[in-house]
Amino acid sequence: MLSYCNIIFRYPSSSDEAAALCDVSFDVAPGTRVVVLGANGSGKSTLARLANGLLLPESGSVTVDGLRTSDENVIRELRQRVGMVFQRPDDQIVATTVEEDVAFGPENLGIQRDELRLRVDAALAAVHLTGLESREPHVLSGGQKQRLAIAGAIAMHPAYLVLDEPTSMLDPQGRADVLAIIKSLTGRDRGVLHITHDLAEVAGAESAIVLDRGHVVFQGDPLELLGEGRLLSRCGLELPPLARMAIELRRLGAPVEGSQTVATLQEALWG
Amino acid sequence: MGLIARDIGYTYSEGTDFEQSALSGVSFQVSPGELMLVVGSTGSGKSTLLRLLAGLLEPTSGALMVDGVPLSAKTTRGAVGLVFQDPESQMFAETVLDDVCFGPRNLGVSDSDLHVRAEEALSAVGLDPDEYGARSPFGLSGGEARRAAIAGVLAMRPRYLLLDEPTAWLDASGRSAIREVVRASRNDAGVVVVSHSAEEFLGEADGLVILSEGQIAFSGTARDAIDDPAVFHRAGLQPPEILAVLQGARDRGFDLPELTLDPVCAAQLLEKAGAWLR
Repeated sequence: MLSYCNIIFRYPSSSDEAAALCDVSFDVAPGTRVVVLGANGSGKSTLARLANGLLLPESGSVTVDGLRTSDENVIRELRQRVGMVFQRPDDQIVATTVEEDVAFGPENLGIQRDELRLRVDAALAAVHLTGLESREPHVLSGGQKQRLAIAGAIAMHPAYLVLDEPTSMLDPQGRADVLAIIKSLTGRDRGVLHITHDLAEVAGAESAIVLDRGHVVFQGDPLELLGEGRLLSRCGLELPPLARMAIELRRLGAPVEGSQTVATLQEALWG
Repeated sequence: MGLIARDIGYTYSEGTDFEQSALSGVSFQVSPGELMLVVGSTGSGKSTLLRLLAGLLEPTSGALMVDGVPLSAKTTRGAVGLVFQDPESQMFAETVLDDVCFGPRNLGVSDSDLHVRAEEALSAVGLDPDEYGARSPFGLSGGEARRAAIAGVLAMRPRYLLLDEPTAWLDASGRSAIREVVRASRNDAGVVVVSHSAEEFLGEADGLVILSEGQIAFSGTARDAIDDPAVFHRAGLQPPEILAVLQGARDRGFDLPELTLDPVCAAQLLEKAGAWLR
């Protein structure tokens, strides 16, 4: 379990006294995807950086399968269990070919050649980049680069993945591709903490959390969240047009259950 | 009056082994008060078109005119304002007010006029000059910084305003603030918005141009495109999602003569057409 327990966090340099995170508690269980939503400045990225001890809470604790991020003796092991993927794909590329980039992390763990090959191949297959092994990363599209960053993280075999706005800098196709990959990542008991400001991305998640200026203002079923129009707009979030259409369809008696993709909405209407 | 492109083309590295055509045979017009939306996927020539319209590149064929004068780096000065993608990364002054003054100062606007213009521009983008003018551009949120950057271009009082992906990377409140700015800018200028998706601006655009592989795949009114979302598919793009659902109903034989981008109206259209099994 990746557990946030009564977290309070304040940036030392911040001019105001307000905490970036205020009494935040939640768990990410293995095999589930938890989506954290919030506007710019809500504290989402702070949450991501707390997951593997890049930041430490002022009070409260973050634990990963019982290991505490504030315990220096376990931080190495803890960081192997938590993979991180950030917003800007270009900032996460370290090598000159796709396969070397994926191999970089596990190689540093001392993984041997044969096993390394297996891991790289499996990770690239998982993000649908098989065949591009010898490409130079800089020629990839934004979506491909972000999938490469995800491959690099999963090649480390982390128990949890933390994704901080992984789609926000991508075009619609890249976004759709990366989102499909993210939804497939919870297999094999991997827990995923998915941070985003795009409400369309909660579809299919086990749990949703909404942050507003450091406070948790919603925690629960993603479908229920989509019905909370007023809360969402107060938090600077916006229901995608398709979700608003789905809500109106449901109100008019159509057999629509919070469907959010064009395909699932059409299937609900016409089978 | 108008910013007019007649059959323009642009070839990079023309006459060398690296010659590559980015744009060909593009005709296009925007008049003051109009909002034109240009969409296309990565590599479709959108950015090249924007640079041509801004006078940053000269077309290798065809002609560009701005209000009846051939367009050049000189004639676009002050007449055409371009807001790049990620403009906030190009802010550098110590205060927001100084940053907004930079463009008009370079145009030779007198000091007494400068502040009037800057304050007007900041107000136009919804940033109170008294509150924001003295702040550092680097302490602004994403949406505020983007608006301040747009104010810097508005302060030059361009007759045509070109915006490259103006809502990219912003959250919902930032996006709706920018949509508001675009709406307001049309009072004084012709506006061209370039984007990889029609989702955000099609509802308020007058005209739509779809670019595909450097050529115009569709050119018409936004209304035409809303009523016939197949124009997006033909150009290899996804239509806005609501239109895709409505088009799906049409494909199944339901009678929907006019389509809409409004989510509530769209649901009602489907109900009226009896478009689901009860």
